[in-house]
Amino acid sequence: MKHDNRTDEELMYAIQSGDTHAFRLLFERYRTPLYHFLVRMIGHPETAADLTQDVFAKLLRNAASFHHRSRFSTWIYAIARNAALDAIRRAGHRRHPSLDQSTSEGGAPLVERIAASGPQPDRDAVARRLREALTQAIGQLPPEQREVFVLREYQGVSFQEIADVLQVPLGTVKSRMRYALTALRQTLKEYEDYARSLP
Amino acid sequence: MKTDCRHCEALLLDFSYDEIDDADRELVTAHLQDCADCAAALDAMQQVRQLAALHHLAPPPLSMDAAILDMADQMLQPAKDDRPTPATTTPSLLQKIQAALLRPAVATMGVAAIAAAALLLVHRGEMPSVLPTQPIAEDIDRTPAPRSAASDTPERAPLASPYDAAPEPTPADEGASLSMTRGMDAPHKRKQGRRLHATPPVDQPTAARQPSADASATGGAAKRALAMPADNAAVRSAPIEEAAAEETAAAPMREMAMPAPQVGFAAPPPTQGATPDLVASPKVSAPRAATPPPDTALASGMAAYNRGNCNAAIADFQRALQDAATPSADVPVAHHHIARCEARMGRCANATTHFNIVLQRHRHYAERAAVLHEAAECQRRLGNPSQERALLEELRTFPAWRTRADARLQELDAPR
Repeated sequence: MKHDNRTDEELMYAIQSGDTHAFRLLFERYRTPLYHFLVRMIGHPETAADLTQDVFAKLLRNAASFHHRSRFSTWIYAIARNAALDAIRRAGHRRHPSLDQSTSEGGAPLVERIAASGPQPDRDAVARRLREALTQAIGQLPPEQREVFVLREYQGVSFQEIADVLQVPLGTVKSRMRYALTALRQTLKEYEDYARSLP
Repeated sequence: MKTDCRHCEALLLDFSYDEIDDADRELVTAHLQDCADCAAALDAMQQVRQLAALHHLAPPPLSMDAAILDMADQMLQPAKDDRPTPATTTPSLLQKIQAALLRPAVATMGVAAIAAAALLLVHRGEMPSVLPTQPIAEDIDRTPAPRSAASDTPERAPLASPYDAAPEPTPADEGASLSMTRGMDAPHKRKQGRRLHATPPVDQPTAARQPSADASATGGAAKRALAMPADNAAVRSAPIEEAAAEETAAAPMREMAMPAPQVGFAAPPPTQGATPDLVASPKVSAPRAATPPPDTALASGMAAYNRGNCNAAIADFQRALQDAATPSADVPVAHHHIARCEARMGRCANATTHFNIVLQRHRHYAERAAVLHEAAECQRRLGNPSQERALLEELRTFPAWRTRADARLQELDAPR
């Protein structure tokens, strides 16, 4: 797609006047970030794809109500975040089994299994296990911490903008982030050495 | 140093994410050189971040892109209609007629013919001297809407055998399959499902796509007439009907021209010795999965499947399943088509394995109803009435399939 220097907000102006090309540009910019945000929030790629579609549908339906007082990214992440929280609420259960919870087969708790499958000489295998452990660990964060962590760590949204998205004070955002980092550190303790060995 | 530590601790997060001003950065940097505790706290934070950075995700599935871009084209359509058509656009029938009427020679002849006819009618007293102004909406109301394949899906009458063809999905089901929505509320997608199915692939120029999208929605000619400026009123009524007729005739051709294998769901041509009528007919709604790039195993499998080469298709789909790069949304598509191929070749036991994978692991797969239908048929062939019944019980929860499922359930219940 041809490079376009227009800002997100300028593209929204164009979309408001029915410019399909502008929508495609905005879609190119946000399709992967929004999809990944939703995957990390709800853990199901298929549902995340549906929700991404919902988010873009809302963008189109409510384009006229975007008044350019806020940044587009704030607006769209607020829509995505609400969609994710709705989905989590509808799901009505935790995405992953609790780390402390024993398995249905009566095996060791997940946290012990993760620990037992700690770093091995084969770095690829460790990396694979780590990815799984990360998925579990992120999924175990309470939604209010998870959204802050995912938005800041993976989406690159600043703390101030996260505060705008969530409509909470900046201090609250940072506090949730600290809790999230602490919880992840606990969960991923076994991988400390691996982390140190990373370039 | 207590106060410094508290202050530093408050800034560590900003420091770690580089959201700190220069003065505070210097302050923190200086403090970290002297304070092991704060340095350790920062180190711990950085370690978590390093590990988190290893959490990579697959890119979004192509099917998602196609659905969203189609939706955008539809939703932004009214605004596009108001803009002048680009010069490169293929002129519609209406435009051709307008252009023809504007040519001097044709115009002269046309005016002369109309004048002569009007004179004749006025002379015979059959026409008032002042033409009544017809509201354009009334014209449209009287104009039969063109019935393209995608624009009208009446309830199909029960067929002789309940399993020889799939029922046409209701709009609601189409919306569901389009949106890949599984339990999520998506009313907008349900509303648009019908139109999106008739929309050509997204890589086609938008202007060229417009007529078919219009036609599939509520009648392209009628819609264009509504959008016509007032000075075109002279050519309204007759061209509307002509255009409608042309679009009706063109509908099958458009469908043929659409290169949308749509990640399968068009039944393959029958192979020799294949078990007939097991695979759902091509009218089973296709998920709005984009045609995958031609170099993927899935695309290759779909091509083989559509050629009726089931063995090659199975091999390609298996390859797609082993490929870590295959988007997760395409996994059930591959399993579903392996199952279809196996069933076509009369290997219902093998097919059942793949149907079960789709049904159990991909509960939100857009074509779940089709899978249930086909799996039930396989169970019938395998002589497992209880399993067939279980599948049919779920199938009947899909409104478009209820009649069909109930008919088969009645057959199962009938005394033998």
